[in-house]
Amino acid sequence: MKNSNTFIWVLLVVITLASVSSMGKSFAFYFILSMALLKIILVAYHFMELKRAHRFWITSISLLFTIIVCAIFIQYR
Amino acid sequence: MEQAINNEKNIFYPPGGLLIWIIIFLECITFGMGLIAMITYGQDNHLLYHDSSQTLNKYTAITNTIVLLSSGFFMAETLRNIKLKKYTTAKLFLQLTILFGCIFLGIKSFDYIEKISSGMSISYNIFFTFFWLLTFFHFLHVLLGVIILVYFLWKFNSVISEVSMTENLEAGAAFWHLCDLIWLLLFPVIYLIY
Repeated sequence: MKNSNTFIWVLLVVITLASVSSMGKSFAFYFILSMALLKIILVAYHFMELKRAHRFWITSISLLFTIIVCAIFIQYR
Repeated sequence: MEQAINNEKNIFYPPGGLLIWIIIFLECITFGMGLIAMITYGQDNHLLYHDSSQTLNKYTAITNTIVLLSSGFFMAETLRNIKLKKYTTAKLFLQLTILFGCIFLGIKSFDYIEKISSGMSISYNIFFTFFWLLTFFHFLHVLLGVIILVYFLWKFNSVISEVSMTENLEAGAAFWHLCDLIWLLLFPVIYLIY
């Protein structure tokens, strides 16, 4: 069993720090929320092991959070 | 073993079991609706939201995000090591998960005490009403998650010897990662975008 968890953990921390460092920039709002969505999908797929579950689960959790983030985009404008 | 492999790709057998995933979806929808409501109220109070957000301690929030992501990583490693039958390492990772969960709760408690002593309680303004409702509800989830994991640490010998207990730990792990998912959405909306 190849261990990709360490790589994903480092990637998640790097994305978090990149999001924080983008604060104040013109594109920050869209970047921060897009990165949050990416992190959620990474956690669900790798840490929650949806990679070994039926495709329905990763599709539906990704779809749910995409809808929530899109609703935030629309309401924030 | 063959049955377990077949179950993995069965739509009715997600990791941790169907029931915990129903809970995960309901919780995510609840928090998502809470955040959308928060943003909607912010349309008429943009300056208030901006000023209120500036009073939040972003450094503790960033630290807490990294702490929670790390605890999620330790939880994933716990399950991976149990499957590899490396039980001593698995137990160590479970202890680290609980420790980081407690660190998160400690930092958040410090943050709450700071806010209360500054008079920024739930009735201070609309931003802090949502701040307290969403973050404290999440705080309770992490607290419950820690209690569940402490139980599995206490019953660790059963976890590694009984298949049903290993499956229960998988459900506990899914609940723990739910706390990650919720925080990953709360953190940018409450602390960063305003």
